[in-house]
Amino acid sequence: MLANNNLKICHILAWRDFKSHKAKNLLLSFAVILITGLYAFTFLLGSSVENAYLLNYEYRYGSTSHILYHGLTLHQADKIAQHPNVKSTVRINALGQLSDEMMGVRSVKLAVTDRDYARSILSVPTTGRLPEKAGEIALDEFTMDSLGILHELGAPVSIQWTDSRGGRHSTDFTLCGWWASPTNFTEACAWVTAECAAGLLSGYPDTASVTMGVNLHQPKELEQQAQQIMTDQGVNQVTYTTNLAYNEARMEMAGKQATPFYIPALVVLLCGFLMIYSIIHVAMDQDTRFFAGLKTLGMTPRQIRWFLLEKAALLSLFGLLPGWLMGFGIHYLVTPRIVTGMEQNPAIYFLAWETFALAALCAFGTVLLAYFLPVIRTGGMMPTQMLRNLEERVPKGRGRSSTGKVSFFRLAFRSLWRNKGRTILSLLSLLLSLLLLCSTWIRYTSYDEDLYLNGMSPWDYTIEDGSAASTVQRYNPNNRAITQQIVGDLRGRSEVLEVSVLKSKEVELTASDELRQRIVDFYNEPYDETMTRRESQAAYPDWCAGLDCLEQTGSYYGIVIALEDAYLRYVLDNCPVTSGDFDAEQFADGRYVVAAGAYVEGVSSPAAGETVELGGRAACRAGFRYGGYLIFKRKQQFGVQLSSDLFCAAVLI
Amino acid sequence: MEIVTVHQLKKYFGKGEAQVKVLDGIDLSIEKGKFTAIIGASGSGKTTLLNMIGGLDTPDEGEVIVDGVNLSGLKERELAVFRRSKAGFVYQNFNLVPTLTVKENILFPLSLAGSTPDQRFFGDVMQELWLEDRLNAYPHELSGGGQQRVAIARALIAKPAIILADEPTGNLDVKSGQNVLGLLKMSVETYHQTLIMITHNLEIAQMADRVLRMEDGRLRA
Repeated sequence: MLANNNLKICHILAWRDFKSHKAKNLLLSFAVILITGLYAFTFLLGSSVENAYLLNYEYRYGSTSHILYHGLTLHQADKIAQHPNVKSTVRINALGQLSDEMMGVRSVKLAVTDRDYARSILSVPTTGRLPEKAGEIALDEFTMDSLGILHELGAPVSIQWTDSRGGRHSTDFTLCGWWASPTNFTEACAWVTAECAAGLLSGYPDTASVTMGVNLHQPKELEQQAQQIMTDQGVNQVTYTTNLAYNEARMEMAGKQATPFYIPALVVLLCGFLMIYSIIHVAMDQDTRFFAGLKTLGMTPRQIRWFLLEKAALLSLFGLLPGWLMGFGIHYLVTPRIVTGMEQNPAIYFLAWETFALAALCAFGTVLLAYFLPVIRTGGMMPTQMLRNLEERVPKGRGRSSTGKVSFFRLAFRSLWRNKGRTILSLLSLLLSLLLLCSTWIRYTSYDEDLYLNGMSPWDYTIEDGSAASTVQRYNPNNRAITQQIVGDLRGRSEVLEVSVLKSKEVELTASDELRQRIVDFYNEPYDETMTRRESQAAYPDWCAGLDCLEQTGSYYGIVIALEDAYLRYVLDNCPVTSGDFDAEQFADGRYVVAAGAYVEGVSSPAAGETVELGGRAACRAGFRYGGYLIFKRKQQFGVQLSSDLFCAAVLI
Repeated sequence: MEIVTVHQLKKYFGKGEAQVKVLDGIDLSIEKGKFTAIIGASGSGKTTLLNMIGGLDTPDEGEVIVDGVNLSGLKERELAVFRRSKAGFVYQNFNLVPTLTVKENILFPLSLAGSTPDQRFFGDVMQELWLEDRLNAYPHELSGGGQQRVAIARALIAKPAIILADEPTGNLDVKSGQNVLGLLKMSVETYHQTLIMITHNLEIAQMADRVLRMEDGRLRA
């Protein structure tokens, strides 16, 4: 008796039904477009936030590769590339490392141009190009600023570098391109051609050291995989690093960061379901009779479900492309305001087809749920039972007007009240949506924008010397990035309200006997039961040497900072004075200085009235306070070495 | 030979004091190839009995056996397959699918089963029911009589064991109604179908081979 349940007829029925109810299906299509768009936007935004978090760690790592192997030979690199776990590789031949002392702590390889590797470490020139001829070099902007190289194509570049055997070299190049390296890149490359490398390093490429970036099929447990690859391929005595971004804890944290942005998808599900459900079931009675009729003719519950599946699929298909476009449009406008600090547009950079596919799937699921839910309830019902239920739902003899006429309002009210559950649920979801929108609006309108902006920065722009813009750089006194001419030009612009200039210089000072004794006594006091404050700094030998020098000779280095206008006002407004009063006239006169010291009062901040000699000239001082230990650094060592030519310009517009 | 057998069939609606016995112990046998008419006042249980025989509803007590198939205990899926293969339905409101053509409506039960029609039989039925030149029309383009002829053709096309008609002429004018009745009677004679029809019209009932009278959920002699 059981016969084949043909599904092809369901397809015909669904398509014919879709064509015949044009108005209803047009409305449903709009709803599906909205739902698909919101899903697409939610997932695009969430994935952008998640990927941006991981990209930040990739930047710190210095590469998009999962594992970086260093110091390989060509043979070793080929062997590693053949391992089954390895999906793809990029490699460079490094001649050596830049060794100019102005480089500070940054490690910059002098390497032969490889475009694939350059892409993996985000080091492809955005101005100019990669070297194509011998004598050309491409650098990142941090390296250029540290070395005082002008940002001009064709500018002369003089590089000091050390090869892998420790040989020191100095070579001249011509700048052919540069790029803006992310601020926290501690690894970088300076690109030259293979022809140039052959001329610089004898025995190249055999004597070159290969660095290889490896991408795995499964970027999990990178440490174990890195070791496994080396063991399996018989590669020994090479170093490797693994990408921080693929650390499981990081990926979990990235997921947590992005979770608040994914949660609105649940709201989209609820509201989308209610929207579609409401539209479909405006003609619920008619639909119930229709399905009862189909069942009478022998349509099985499976065939009815398939018919509804086809209807939902048709509807979702029509709303797919416009929905994706809408979602991408909102994503393009909104995401760059949430994911900030990137040079590229995050809305484009993190675009992935998977998010669109997921949005389509969720939209289809939402539509399917709206179609299926009532069918699930009536699926096992007999046709006559369905019709009986229908008749029981119609209220009899209530609310009829005496004239037999009915107003639109009464008609609408009756329609809504026939299915109380659905009406109440729709009202609740609308109320929730309204509350969410209002709370967002209230939150944003309550921001005191000026207060918020002033907390971020007291001025609109800061222009600072490029060689000391980052903590990983070292100030280059030969850099002429900011000149008096530039300051004058800025002051002359009509849109500029004020320009404030800061200059600084590191000077050697001699402490008075009282100051010397006070500081030494302070650091000889106990830090805890086991050591003194001086001993707690044992990990910093330079610091200890500085304190010893102060104790023996009274000599120390201080930074003289010339302040005026906005800079001076900022210091006076935000740094509390511990002794004395600020006298603007005497300060401007040059007979008066403001001194800063450790936060423990009276340690390194002499009281008002004491004098200090700067450049052979005495000045009185008043003290103010800032947090932390005193910094003892010797002039030639790591730290910010300043000169009278270093200054920053603060611009208010 | 008996094609339909009903034993102590009972059906109730509602619960407790509001419970109504719609069918109160029906015992019935219907011979194959005969035209049986069921008459009775409104609310006597005629439609409910017809629904039980057609597998459109389930009894609370008793059993229904149609062409050797005991409908008691069958699930909805199995009953759906029974309906499309063993029973043909002709209703007062035609119950055609508005988005399918005349031909597609007629072949609908076979399409659900994934079967192909007997082309000769299909041609004969189209000829008998004057539907040859209306096959590509839609139901809303036909008159009431035309729609009912489509419903009759649909009921016949799967060569079911029984044809169940519930007031098939209720929505038709006199002439169309007579026409439809004639066609139904013709199908009994020509195709040896078993026809069970509910009607209020005594004249129609007199055309039947057997008349069953229902009263308060019971069959009366």
